[in-house]
Amino acid sequence: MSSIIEVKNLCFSYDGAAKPVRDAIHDVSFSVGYGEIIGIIGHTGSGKSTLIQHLNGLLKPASGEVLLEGKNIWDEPKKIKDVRFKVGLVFQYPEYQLFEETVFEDIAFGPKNMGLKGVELDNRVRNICETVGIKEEYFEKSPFDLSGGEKRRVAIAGVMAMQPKVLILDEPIAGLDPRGRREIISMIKSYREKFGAAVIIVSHNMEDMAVLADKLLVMNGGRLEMFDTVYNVFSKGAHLFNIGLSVPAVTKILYLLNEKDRSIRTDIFTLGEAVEYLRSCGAGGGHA
Amino acid sequence: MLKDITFGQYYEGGSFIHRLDARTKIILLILNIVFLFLAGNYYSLALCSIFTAFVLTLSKVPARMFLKNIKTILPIIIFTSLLNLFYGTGGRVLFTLFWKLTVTTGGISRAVFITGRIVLLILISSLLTYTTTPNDITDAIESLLSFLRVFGLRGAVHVLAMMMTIALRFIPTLVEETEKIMNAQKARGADLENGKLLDKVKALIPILIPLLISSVRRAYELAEAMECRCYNGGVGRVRMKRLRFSLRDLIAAMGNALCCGGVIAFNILL
Repeated sequence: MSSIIEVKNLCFSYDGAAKPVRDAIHDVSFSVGYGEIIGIIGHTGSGKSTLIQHLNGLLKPASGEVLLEGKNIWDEPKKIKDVRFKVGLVFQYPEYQLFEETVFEDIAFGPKNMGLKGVELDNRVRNICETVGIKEEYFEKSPFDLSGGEKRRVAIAGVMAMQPKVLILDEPIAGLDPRGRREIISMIKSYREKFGAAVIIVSHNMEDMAVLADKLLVMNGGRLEMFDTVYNVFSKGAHLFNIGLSVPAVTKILYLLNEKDRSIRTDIFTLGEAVEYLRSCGAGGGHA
Repeated sequence: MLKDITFGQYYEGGSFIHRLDARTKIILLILNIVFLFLAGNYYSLALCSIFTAFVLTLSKVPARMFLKNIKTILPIIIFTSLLNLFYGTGGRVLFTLFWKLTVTTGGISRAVFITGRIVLLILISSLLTYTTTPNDITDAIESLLSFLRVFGLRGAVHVLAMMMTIALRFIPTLVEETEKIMNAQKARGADLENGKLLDKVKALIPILIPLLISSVRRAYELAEAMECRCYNGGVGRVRMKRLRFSLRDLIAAMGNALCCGGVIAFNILL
């Protein structure tokens, strides 16, 4: 599997005394393949947000490079806008960036900036709304009349409408109710399935990461701590705790059970699997 | 870029000037400005310069901070001095540019004088903002205007001061918010740098509307938070940091009075 986006020895630091060490990036390298879902975890100030802003050229690395389909994105600084259409970035609380009069117009903002017009633009917006389940009756509504979860869906659809090959989302489910979270997650999944895009998600929610991501990228103090499969990362629970992170709640319960009974497995990270596993324990005469 | 915006450019320090009561500083600043304009000849202006230089050194704020302020209003200084150069009459005619634009020694003298006055004005005013936190300034203004309560305006003074405090407090927040929204729209391909003037104005819409909406939202949230803490408009409120006059303020006032007296004396005698 060839990589769609590759980061090589990226270094960056904010100049000025305001943020001397925080949010800096030291020598980070990794690559993401087509269709992969990567989760980025790390505690506050570990450089997650700084890192993702390099991927679409909002920040320019002090040294190192970002390769998009094998091409350094800063080769032609004038064309950095094109990079932003290929690498869609959804910021934290994207609902605060809505500004148009109607939902349709707001989703069309990105594609319009790409130069799409008329029927093509119309199709583009309808297409994405269909994919992510925004119904036509919403098109003419004002985005400000929607509920929090709906606003966020519209805002994310606004980025998806550019049909980026890499979709990056910073805390896409923070502050939503369970239903809103499910909707956003299913939206991201359908987008990836339809367009075969790579998805990078920054999140604090280990449970969702366990369900969603293929691989996890762990940031600590601006350095890449781990970049491995979800299984391998969450298996190193003690190390994660050390750098201020955690494992999914269900895994924590298994750890506690394991203290009582060493035969209990602790390498299960999703609720569904855990339930199944514990049931099977029970059925087999059970130690738990 | 946006981060360069400094407001209430307070320069941390513990000098004599820093520790003066903010009210003293405001009153003395006004006094100083009045006397700068009263200074009628070079001798009194020189006295003002010496006094200003003394006070600036006392504040221990680095000279480059003051120079930065002068630099920003350099165009205004140049403009006024040019205007005065041609307006001034008297003295010998040095040369005539064209039509009636003549440069006389009187004109030059006047231009130098006015320039000196403006520069001093800026230096002494920036001293206030460098040595006093914005909050202290608003507190001082509130305290100084409290005489208005005689006219039944006490609440109004407090409300105004509170508005100023809140406005100052939220400038960094809004700057941060603006940056976030700008980045978000840039990520959607908004072009903020290129294009004609009209395009640039249009490009501001996706930034200003979310900013406006979030400001209103913030205002509501803040109002609610203040009400939850029983804020009801300031009657009977006490302060944690109270302004107090001390010996220091008396000394400062005496020093100023000395300078002002000197200005009057020089005006009359020389």
